[in-house]
Amino acid sequence: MTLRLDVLLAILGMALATYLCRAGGYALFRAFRPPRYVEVTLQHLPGPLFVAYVAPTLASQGAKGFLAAVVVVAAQAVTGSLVAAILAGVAAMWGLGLVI
Amino acid sequence: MSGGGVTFTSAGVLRGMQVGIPLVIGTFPFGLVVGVISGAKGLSLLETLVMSGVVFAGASQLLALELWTDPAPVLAASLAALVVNLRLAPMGAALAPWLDRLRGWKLWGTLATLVDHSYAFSIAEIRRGGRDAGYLLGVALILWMFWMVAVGLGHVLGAVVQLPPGHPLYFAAVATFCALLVPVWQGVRRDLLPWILAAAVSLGAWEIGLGAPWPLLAGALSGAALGAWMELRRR
Repeated sequence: MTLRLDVLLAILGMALATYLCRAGGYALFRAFRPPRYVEVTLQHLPGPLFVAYVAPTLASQGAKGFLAAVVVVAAQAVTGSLVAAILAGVAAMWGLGLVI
Repeated sequence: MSGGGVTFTSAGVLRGMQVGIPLVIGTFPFGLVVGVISGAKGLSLLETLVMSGVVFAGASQLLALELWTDPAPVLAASLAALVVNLRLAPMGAALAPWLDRLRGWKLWGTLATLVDHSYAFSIAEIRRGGRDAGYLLGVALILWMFWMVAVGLGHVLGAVVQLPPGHPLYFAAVATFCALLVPVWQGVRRDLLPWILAAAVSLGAWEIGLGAPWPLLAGALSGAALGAWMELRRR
């Protein structure tokens, strides 16, 4: 049951950043109407954000990673279930690990 | 919406908790994954629970953990949380019909619990004419409780099984974000070019050896900026 100082600081930094988004967004958007391009950029953020995380991570795992990612996307598109998609991805990664 | 007559009662909180229970089916496995990954990255059970309790935003926790190093990456983790959770900023503004009528902890405390699900349910409730803002807190509270249980359970199970590094199960974290891309996709015209740019910029930044979170930030912001530019130009 350790609580290291560096870990606590990182957690508090994350908590502060997240609270700024939750409460600061409300306070700021109420006081000032944000410029249109800020609003539209925020609407466009989720897709590029996940892509920008996934791309280098998959690249570091080679062909196996990209093939498993295709399986995940297909499973999510067909079933609409996040759980099924994650399980399919892990299963694909395990299966590909046997052959590649 | 006049905003008049907005209340904040414990009955409203309880009703929010009740309607939020089915949502746990979706968030519980996600919490398990966060718990397992957290343990694998060397965080203790206490550290894992503190993070989940005060951050309470699954995608940003998972992403920060993926960037985790020893000693803990204070700047990288904070920036990752900021970028992933920026999407929450406009949600508070959209809930103004309720939030503008609240004061003190009811306002700033409820905002601390804001998550995608409680936002979506509350917007629907406002449109139905709902006037009890306790509903917003209630939906988030029930999710928070089960989030803590799921993350703690994941951490304990991960410690029992003792997975070696590179085990296929760790692919669950990346798989989560790949799967999240599917409902976010709104069509070739809107998303294809911004997503390609995001991938190219993040891969380029990674290839030249930039450490976390810079490939992520550069890719996310350039892609979102291109998407916004294309959308505004079409009008």
